[in-house]
Amino acid sequence: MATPLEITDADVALVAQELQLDLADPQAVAVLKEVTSCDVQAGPGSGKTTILTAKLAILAKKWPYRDRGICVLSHTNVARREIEHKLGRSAHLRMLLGYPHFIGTFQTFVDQFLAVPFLRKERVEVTAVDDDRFGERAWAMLRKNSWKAAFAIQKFCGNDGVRAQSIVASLTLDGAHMGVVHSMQNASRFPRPDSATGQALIAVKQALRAEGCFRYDDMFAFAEACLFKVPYVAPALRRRFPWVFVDELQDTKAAQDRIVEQVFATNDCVFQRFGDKNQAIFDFEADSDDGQSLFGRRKTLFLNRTHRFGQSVANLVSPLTAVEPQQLIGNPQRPNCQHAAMVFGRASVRSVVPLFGDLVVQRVPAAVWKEDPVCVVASRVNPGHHTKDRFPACLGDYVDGYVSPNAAKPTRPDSFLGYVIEGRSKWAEEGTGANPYNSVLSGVLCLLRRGDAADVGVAPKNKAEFHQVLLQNDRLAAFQRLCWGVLNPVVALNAGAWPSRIKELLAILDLTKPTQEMLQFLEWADSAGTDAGNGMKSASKAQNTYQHRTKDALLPIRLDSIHGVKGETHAATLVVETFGRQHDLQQLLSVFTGQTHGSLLKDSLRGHCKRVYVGMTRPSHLLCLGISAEHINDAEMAALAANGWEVIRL
Amino acid sequence: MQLAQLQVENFRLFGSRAEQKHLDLRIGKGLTVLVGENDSGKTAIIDALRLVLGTTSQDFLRIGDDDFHKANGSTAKDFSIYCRFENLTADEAARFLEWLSFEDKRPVLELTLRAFRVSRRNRSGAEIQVVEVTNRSGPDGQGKPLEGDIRSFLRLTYLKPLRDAESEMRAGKGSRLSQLLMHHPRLAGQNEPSELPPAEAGKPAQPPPTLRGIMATAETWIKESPAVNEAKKQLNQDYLSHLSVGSEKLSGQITIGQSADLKGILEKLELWLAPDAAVLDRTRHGLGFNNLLFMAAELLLLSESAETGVPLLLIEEPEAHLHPQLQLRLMEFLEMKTAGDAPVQVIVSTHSPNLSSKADIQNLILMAKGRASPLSSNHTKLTAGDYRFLRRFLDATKANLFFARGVVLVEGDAENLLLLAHAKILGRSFTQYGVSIVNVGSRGLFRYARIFQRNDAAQPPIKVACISDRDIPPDEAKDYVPKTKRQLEQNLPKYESELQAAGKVADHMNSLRQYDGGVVKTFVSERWTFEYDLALSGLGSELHQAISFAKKLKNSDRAFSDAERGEVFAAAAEEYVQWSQGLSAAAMATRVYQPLFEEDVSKAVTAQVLAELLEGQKLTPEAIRPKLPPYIVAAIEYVTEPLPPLQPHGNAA
Repeated sequence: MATPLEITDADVALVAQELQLDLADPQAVAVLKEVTSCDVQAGPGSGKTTILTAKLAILAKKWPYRDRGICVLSHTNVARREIEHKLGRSAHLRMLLGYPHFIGTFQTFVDQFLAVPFLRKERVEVTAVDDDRFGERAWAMLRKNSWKAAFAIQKFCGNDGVRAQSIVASLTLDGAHMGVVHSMQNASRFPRPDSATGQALIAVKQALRAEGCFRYDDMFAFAEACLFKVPYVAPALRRRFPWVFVDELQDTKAAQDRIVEQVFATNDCVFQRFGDKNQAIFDFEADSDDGQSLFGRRKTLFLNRTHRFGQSVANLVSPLTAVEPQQLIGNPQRPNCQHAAMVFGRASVRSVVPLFGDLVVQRVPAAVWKEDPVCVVASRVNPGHHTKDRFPACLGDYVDGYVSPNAAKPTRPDSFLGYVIEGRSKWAEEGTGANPYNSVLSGVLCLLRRGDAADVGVAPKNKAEFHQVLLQNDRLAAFQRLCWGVLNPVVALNAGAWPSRIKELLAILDLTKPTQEMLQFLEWADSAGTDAGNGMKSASKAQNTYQHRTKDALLPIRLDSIHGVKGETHAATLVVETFGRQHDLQQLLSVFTGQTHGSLLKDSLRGHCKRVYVGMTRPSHLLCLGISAEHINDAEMAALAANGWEVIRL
Repeated sequence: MQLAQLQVENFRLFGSRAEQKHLDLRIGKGLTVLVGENDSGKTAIIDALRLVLGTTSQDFLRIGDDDFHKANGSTAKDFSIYCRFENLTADEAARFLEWLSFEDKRPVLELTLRAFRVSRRNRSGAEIQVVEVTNRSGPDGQGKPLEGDIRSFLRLTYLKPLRDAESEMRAGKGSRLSQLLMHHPRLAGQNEPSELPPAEAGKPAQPPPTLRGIMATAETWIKESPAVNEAKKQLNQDYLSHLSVGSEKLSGQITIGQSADLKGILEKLELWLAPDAAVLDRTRHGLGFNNLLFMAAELLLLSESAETGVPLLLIEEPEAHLHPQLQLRLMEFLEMKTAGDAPVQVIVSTHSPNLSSKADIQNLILMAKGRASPLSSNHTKLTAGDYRFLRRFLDATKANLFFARGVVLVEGDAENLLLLAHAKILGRSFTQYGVSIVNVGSRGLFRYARIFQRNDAAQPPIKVACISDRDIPPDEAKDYVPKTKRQLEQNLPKYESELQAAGKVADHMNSLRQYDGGVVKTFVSERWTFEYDLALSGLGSELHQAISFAKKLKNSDRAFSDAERGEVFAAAAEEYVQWSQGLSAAAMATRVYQPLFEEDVSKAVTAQVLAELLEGQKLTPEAIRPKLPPYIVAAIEYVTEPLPPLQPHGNAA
């Protein structure tokens, strides 16, 4: 190992005291003391983020270098913020947040250290790294340059324009060789790369590449190309980061995994990955890569103790650990409820959720479900193309009025006001100005792209360039004043003041003759919902809540995809059967009855098993299943009961 | 990591790239010596580097309005400083990873500082000038900004001119010596507490293993020493106890002032010079010695510790306070410490011909009027042999030429002395025009000239005149200039008429001028030698007077009074008039020149007498000009500025 760091019991005890951790679990102590490369298989609710933070705290104290650092790779900004928040509490730990360390997402890491410097080397000017913008441009370009191809794709999608666009929008560079792939790559043979349509798609991707317009995932391809073409980068990364942590390893995508393995999985680095391989699930619709091949290459340490649920849930879910068999140890402080499997027919499917509501009210203390959500989850939430004659097909079959979250997917604002509102809501959420300011900047760049080149001159390519222009013209201060004017959370936006703001903006930008398109973009619109700023996502969550009424209680029950509840803790969870190639719960019956173990299932069933495992490991108190009577016989019901389930026939 | 290139645009005397007035300088590894006159751009280069990298001593360099280039009556709105580091070690590549530029074979670190001058209104509405600065990495300055901790790894070490080394090495809070020692690798771990080791029988007592332990032990002993204890007791019993109110008793403790951590300990140390290891009594030494001590300490740190900044040392005018021999030692030392694969790079700016004569000419960068001309091989037309020759023969006197705006290279003392006098009388005083006249003796005239001839476009704005003899004796001199044996045997042409007849004069002249080019121009005497041509062109009488007096001086070792000298001059002038009866001008000049040719008198002495004689005549430029050989006038005009056109003869009269 490059670093002869040693972590002793005294170090562990000290950090436990400082961070007020209960480190009675010998497995947790073992993880903290491990100084060689390993995977940490952390069961649901095992508090791995806390343990990772404690480990970082220990390392921070002993860290001997000023110019070499610890690298912590997460998948979402939420995860990064969680770690940062915990570290930020003590001045000593705060130093991990700056040079020479790195705590951030894979995306940021790859951008900062590989892709962006590589693009600079290749003299590619990046104008946008943004899936939405790429999608818009790609579809517009395809229709303009090769309308036949656009037509063919639309026809292939059954004239579903949204779906056709989504295929074009998914054109991505893949791997160091920079092949062009798209979302239908594995699901169908259409369009063949050598067909006219396939060629048209590739041409669009290459044209946008030349323009500097990219998808987020393209950056991973450039990163791989960088590692391939710039041979000294990987050794430099290893030397810079002798310790590397991956958080939520189960969410690692193939390209991300290739990159970190190539760079860090050597004897020069201590490479430790935290996560739960049994929860490695990807987007259901594009479930082509379940990431199985990625795991199991180095020593594994286990965290079996869960804080989330009691032994009764632990016993029911442990057999579903399909990738890394694990017997979870329940939290003795949780009461053991009687968990139920509801068996329903076509006539009684609508009673499943109300019955679940009744069970929750009966079996879970009100204080618990008032604190944590009660959820109904399913693998499939929307009806698909191949589910027409299937029952039950999707979550929508169980309740009326389920709104597909796809339809409510937040999109890019289509007006300057929209960007301002986005900024204001970010401010409310984060309490700092950096991202809100960036929103307004994005809005301005969007505006400038709408002008004729003749009027505006050359529009700045990115935010940095725009800044430079402002600085040179000495308009930065004026621009910042304007931004504060519209973002100031204390002062509400109003239609009356808007025109003067716009006038100010046009003056700063030197836009004497804005185009019609620009003026439209700058208009005030009441419908933009001046303070409906919290985004569409929460609105859709509110929409997908079923209000369960009993005599003396009103219980909100949230409906969501299993994908949507990753990482959450529920008071009670109902997992209902849906269809994706097969009916998921039907295929897993033998596991529920205790006849077999998830790890012994056929490979084709592992995806179901991992997804259902994610759903079933949410509740702290009550776990329920909803299984169609068409998929279960009496013997199996008896076996379920024998294995600890209460079987309720509807 | 090595600074390989520096580009400066619109900063101080460096102008814009569009007009090719910017600086684009390649810098070699090891030692670089910037030489040149005042206001040639040496300090601008040093300051540009200080601005973009920052310094370890944290002295703050403020960007002012006058840092922006001024040309054609207007001031530039922005300036930029770009520097490029190559040959990064694996550790450096890792350290600067997110700031690197990826190039095909190797990573490089490029830094670009841009400063913008913007006007802004202050609170009272008055317009003020503000400077905005950005400092970013990457190609074209498009990379990650340089901010936070990374800057501390980029700081260079800067030694300012006329520094007070003694006070820099003195003990005190934040002293330079404590900073130097703090980062020395051998002091790692010295900040750990340690205990007095138990005494072992038969062995002398050992101190605690770390400095911190030693200090803590000393502190305990001091605190518990009877003297301190008694004083403390008295203070507490006789004074403080009487001042206590209520049940709380006031009491005092006496301890060592600063906390006994490593920083505190190091701040108590100071560095001073003990010329003899045995002498431990401290005596005060001159600034020069202290300066050497200081530079040695800084270099020690630079070569031992990577964590304090880039291994780049800038020394402005290291000659300050040093006598010539020490300057030479210093230059040798710097070359030794930067030789071969040493990671340390040193950039020195100097006005000292001494220092620059000692430096390897390959390491010199000639600065003149904001133009930088590196003298390393393949930049100049100097050959490998020239470099060896110059290394040996370029001494402090000749090194003058690095600091001049114009250079006259001559092959003898006579030219040396008399050109100065001629130029002065012509109103083209060399000192006033910053022209150096360098006497290269009998060899290597063009080797020196080639210093200024370039393979690249970095032509220095310096004019170089080489003064050479045509060396064709006139027919009149046959009497005392015999042909050599070889010339006789092979019947080679020697005299003017023979060469003219053989048509070889043009070839001969071309061969004398064969090395001309760039800023170098050769001026060849019209006829034979410098003195002969002087005599021929109109200073015959004066030369004869000077020769006569020089003869007198040669044959006597006593001093002559002005009156005696006047007599000699008058007699010689008389003699000259007599000789001139019936003799052609060429014959006269031949006759006057004979004693010099035959080395009856010293050329140098004659020249000196003649120079004094001419200065004594208080001639006007117009009066002397017709009497001088045209090539001399042309050479003087070339390195200074052209003289006004001559009044046509006879017209006015």
